[in-house]
Amino acid sequence: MGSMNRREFLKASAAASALVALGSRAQAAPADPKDLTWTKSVCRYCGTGCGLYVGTKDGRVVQVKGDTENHNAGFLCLKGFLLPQVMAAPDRLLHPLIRKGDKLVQASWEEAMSLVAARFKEAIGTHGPDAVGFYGSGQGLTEETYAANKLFKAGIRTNNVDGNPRLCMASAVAGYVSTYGKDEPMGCYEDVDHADTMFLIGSNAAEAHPVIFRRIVKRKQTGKDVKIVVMDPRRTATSRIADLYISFTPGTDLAILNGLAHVLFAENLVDEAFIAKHLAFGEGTEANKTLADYRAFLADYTPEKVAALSGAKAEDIVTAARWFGAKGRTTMSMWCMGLNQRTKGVWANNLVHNLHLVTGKIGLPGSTPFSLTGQPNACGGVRDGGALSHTLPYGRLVANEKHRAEMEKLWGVPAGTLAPKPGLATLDMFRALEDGKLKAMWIMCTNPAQSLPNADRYRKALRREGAFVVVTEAFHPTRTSELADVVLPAALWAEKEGVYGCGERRYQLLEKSVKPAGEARPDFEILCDLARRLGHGALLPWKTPAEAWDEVRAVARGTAYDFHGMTRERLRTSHGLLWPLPAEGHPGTNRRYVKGEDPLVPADAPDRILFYGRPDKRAVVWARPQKPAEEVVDAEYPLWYTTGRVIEHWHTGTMTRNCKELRQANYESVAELHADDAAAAGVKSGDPVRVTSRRGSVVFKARVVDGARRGLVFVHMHDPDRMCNRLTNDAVDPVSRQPEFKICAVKLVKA
Amino acid sequence: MTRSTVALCAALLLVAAAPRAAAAGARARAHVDTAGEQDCASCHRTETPAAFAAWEGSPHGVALVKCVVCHGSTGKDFRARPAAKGCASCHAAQAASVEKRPVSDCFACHAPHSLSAHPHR
Repeated sequence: MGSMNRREFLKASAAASALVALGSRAQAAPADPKDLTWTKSVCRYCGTGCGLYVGTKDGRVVQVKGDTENHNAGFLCLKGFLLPQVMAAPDRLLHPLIRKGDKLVQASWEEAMSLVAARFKEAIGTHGPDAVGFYGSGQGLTEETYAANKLFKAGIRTNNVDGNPRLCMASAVAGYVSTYGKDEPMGCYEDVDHADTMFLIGSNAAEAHPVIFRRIVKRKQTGKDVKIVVMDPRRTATSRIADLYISFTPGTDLAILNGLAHVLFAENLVDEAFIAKHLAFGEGTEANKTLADYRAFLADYTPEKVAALSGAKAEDIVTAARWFGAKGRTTMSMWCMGLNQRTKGVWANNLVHNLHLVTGKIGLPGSTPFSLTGQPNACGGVRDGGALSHTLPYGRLVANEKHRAEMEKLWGVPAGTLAPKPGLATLDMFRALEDGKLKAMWIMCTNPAQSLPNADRYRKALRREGAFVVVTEAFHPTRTSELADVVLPAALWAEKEGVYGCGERRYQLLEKSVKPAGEARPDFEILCDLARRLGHGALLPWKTPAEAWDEVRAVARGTAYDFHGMTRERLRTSHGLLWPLPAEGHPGTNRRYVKGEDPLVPADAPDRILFYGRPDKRAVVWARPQKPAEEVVDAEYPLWYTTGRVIEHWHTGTMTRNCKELRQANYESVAELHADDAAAAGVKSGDPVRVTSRRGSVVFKARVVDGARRGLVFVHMHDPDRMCNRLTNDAVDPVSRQPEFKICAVKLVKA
Repeated sequence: MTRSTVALCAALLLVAAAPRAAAAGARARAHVDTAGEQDCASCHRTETPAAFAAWEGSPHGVALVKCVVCHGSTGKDFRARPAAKGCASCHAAQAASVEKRPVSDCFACHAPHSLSAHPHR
């Protein structure tokens, strides 16, 4: 991506006004829109959760158009408006497949499900319930994930239920929970419209969240003196709109964030009254420190010392802190995988929260710490729904006896049914498959054999002799389905009905538009069938996802998530609703913890904000010292390696690579290099280079790009033929168990 | 792809970029085979530098509304001269207001590729 300086950007946007329209609402109609039947839905791709309408004709999806009444104001990114093409893609899986030797051969549903049930029963009967596991997805519908979670935890009685949100936002969850006592952002997308300073770190929103980025650009163009700070080792497309761009050595961002806090105190940009009323201070896991302790901790993080460590300029750190803390202005932070996919991801999240807390820039329109989410239902389905190995629905924990008792009552199962020990988190689950402890695994709506770090290791585990792997997938072959013992054809997106919850606590209904392709079935039906065959049919008794939704609402009732007022009918007629929304007449909550907005804050609360998530009603400022990445560069592996997205493709590319417009747009993963590194290796753009880490080796084409940082190689994650994850590190954050996709060390030679 | 075919393609696109040409019709011309290229920018940054720079510096460029949105793929659906009616799919209200104006279409005021934005009164 080419660069554009600030002057050029302002020139380009000089004529901008409140009517400026960026993004893409929909493609020119292939048919007269009046001839189409339109069904309200949500985009299938990222965590932005753009509302759209699906246009169908003769039982086929032929067009989409953005929902002008939703948060995205009718805009979609280029992937979104090409969605119709994925529905009838040539690699749609139309019937079940069963492995016979080296081949996957067509089978009937009865044959496939009988085999699956027999193998799961055998594994459970012989080795106990923890010999099986479920690996779900932030792309499954809420009702699907809820059904799987209930079946495995309350029916089979194993907590081996996890999902790919462990790979993308587990550190954000642990960050919110450790700081505020409750998960999920307190702010919303609308905060962008009120933000005077926007602080983006570890987020390439221009490519990963294009419609949120459009909103940021619009605010930049139309607001008065709006400042944007972008911090990222790579100068990405997002930095084009930055007033201040800070590059730094990968893995030094904890020091920079502490350096910002240092300047906030040194220049008296903190809110002492807010600190006294609302904050506690902590270190490690205990909130038993004082403000003085915290200030002593920060003493070491002078801008000069941080600059020397990180390679950023000291004056830039000071400027960023001044803009962040400027009195009388609002500040919104946004971050994504750059902070989360790290062995110190939780700490990095804590440090962003610290900045908002000590300045009191939180819970006001335009002032909020907001984590951006990668998948369309990571928040709503897996995170809120408690479908991770240590969680139960709606903020409850496996290890908490009271929470287990609540869920046993709600689920109508005998006391003691739910196992008290957390199950295996994602990589631990695949390692259990590797060493033979896990005998059977159900993988739904995701592609771990491409998306896991150190992928070759876990690809071998999936094919281990004796392991039985079921994959439900809309496409075949994927890098995971090719390794499965049974592949079940899953209905895709507009072929089924259910709820998605996006990054801002917004829940939305995707209505069914067309029949499933071939013999495909919704995952919801497949899971209900599995439950019946395993003798747990009474736990999943629903005829439709709508029936399950009523149970989901009841399970969330009285929790911090309470969305009891989101009836199916209300979801059908609304354009997304933000929880908490406890009663049918309630409008939903834009800003949590805020008096007058959040129904969980009493009307007579003493101040504008109440951090009710913790027993002392205070948010915690954590002292988190600088720690480098688990693997750092050395003489043998002298280059940093990082991975990420491009705008044209999504996740492992199973959908976007089926769009003809996107097939020749960043289709292939290439090694993006700084010109100096290319010269040192004696290569130019287009030359093959072999990139090798301690875990694997892949040949990519080299591509010299303007925004590359010297000493850093970037490869995108969307290419199944040149998998960036053969090289990435599977070391995990000890708290969140999220792997460090973003940083490892490699060497590069001309191939 | 040879340099000359790229240049020919570039010439076609530059013609397409002229407002009158765009207004004249939306008939697709075949795009040259782009197998092996990384993306549109791989060629067009250097082969059609004016059009590329105009797009890159525009609101569409900042928001990464890339070539395919208006021009389609390089296959049979390639549109060398995207029709102005396509604008309506993103800018419905503005496109509707054009019908009340003494202009041929959107491109009469908004030069293709730069497509600068301003309020429609």
